[in-house]
Amino acid sequence: MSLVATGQLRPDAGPASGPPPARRTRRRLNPSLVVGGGLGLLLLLVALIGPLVCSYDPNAVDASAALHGPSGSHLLGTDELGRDMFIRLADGYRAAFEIGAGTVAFGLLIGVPLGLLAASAGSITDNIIMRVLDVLLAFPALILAVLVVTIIGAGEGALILAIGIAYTPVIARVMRGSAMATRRETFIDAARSRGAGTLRIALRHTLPNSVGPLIVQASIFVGVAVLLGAGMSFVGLGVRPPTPDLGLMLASGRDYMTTSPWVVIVPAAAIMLFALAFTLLGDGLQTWFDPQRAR
Amino acid sequence: MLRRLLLAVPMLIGVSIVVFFLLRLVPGDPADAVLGTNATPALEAKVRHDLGLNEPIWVQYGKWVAGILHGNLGHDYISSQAITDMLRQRLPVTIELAVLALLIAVIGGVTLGVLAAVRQGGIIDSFARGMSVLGTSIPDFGFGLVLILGFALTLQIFPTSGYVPLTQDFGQNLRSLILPALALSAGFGAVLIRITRGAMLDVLDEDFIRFGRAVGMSEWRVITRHTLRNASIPVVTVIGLQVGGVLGATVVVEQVFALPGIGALAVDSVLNRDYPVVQATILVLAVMYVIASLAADVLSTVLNPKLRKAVA
Repeated sequence: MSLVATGQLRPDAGPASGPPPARRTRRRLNPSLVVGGGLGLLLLLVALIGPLVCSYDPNAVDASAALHGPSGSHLLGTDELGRDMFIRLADGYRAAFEIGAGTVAFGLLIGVPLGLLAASAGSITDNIIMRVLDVLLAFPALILAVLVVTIIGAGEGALILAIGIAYTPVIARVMRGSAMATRRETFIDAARSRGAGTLRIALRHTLPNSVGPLIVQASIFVGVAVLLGAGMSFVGLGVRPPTPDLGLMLASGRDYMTTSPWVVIVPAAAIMLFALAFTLLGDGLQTWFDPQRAR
Repeated sequence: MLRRLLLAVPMLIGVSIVVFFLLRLVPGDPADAVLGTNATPALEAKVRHDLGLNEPIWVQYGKWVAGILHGNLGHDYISSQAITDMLRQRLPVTIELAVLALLIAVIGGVTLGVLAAVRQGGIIDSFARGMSVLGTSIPDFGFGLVLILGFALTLQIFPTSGYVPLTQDFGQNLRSLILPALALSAGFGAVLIRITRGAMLDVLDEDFIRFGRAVGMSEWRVITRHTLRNASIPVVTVIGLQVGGVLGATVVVEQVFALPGIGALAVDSVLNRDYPVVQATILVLAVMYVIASLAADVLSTVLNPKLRKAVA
């Protein structure tokens, strides 16, 4: 089974067109991967440990402490209701991780089988699946998410479902493209000639050797989903108050930003750091899986 | 090219089906939404009849589509204003905003991408790659608020919100749209930097470029005539795809700057449960995206003789 383990990701990297094995770049850690992964871990720690080390209640209203700037007692200041910004930020990150992980999990759960089926089951099935996905892709992702929220209502769960549905077609397409490329490899022919059935080839050979682009895409989507989700919460179509959410923090802070700029800058920077972590992680993973393409 | 145009037709039909039937899944009776708390069984029956809700759903869909083809998108539940009139007022705002944002993104993104590729590994390259990562990560609405804070509230160069129609005053119109367009363009400019840089590097690797240099062609000519031309094909494709993102993002950015566009109308109508308007705005935004993708496809075939031959 050593052939399977080489896991080639480039469709054109067959024995004839690829570089000789001696020149093949080895997979190694790259700066994007390290910085992105490190930053992501740090934010996860803030989300998990923040509420343990910080004694403030994220929803405790304290009018006397409203709009205090960053200080020793309130690391990132307080908002218009005197709530501690750091603890709300930590809770916002927890929601962000839930939204990011939830949407990507949903997208993978539906998109991967669809893409694999389209790539494996023959041209009629492929055509039907892809034409339906094409119609969904004709909607801008955010618009599709708005459509879903219209039907099922707002809230964190609805937001996860809405963005998950919006990105499922993209994940299915990536899966199909990657699986199609893998299916041209010799080891698939070898498996077929040994008498392996369509299902076995799809699940045991195609899928494990096609996950690289999918992992890259999934990482990027975690960041994109959180950007999108924050935007929807910001306009009132996502997470509902008083749940701490980074988009909601921006929405409620905007009226006070002239006098207390931190109420806007803290959540805006927080969202950006989150997206930055997963963009870099996606870049780094891309280089990791496909060192030839990186430059 | 004709084939591409024909393919857009089933796409548009699919889009209209999705919009129409998905919104029928909304729980509750549209008649209740119209009447609100005034609902009595008799009134409800009358409204149901007036809205055509008693007819089979396919007949309703057919009538809706026939209406659209005649420029009639129905009426707003709440103000009973004709939706076509609402769209006529709001469409120019969104189109202008999207075009301006794309223009900024394309000019900035492509320029930086080209410069980065030409001087690969240099300072401009590092700067461009940094900008690309930052731009992708920045939330458009957060960036918008920071722009308001800096340029409207502190420096007071631009208005914080509102819209002045193009027909009324060109200068003021541009002033009212420059910050929202900047906020909207960051993410797309970032993607374009990356795509342009990658496409340029790919082309610069080709044998014909090496040949051009070998026969003594000037570097300027190599870049402008041969590299840019070939690198523009993936860039145009990506710009077409980006239009969808830009249109989607107007939903959020128009809220930040209180612009009376389609995106803002979509949000308001969802929050007000005004389903005919939701239906119309989502349809319009999706149709605009289909048209933009089509335009990008057509442009790619013009730019790429190989595609032209394949289509013919």
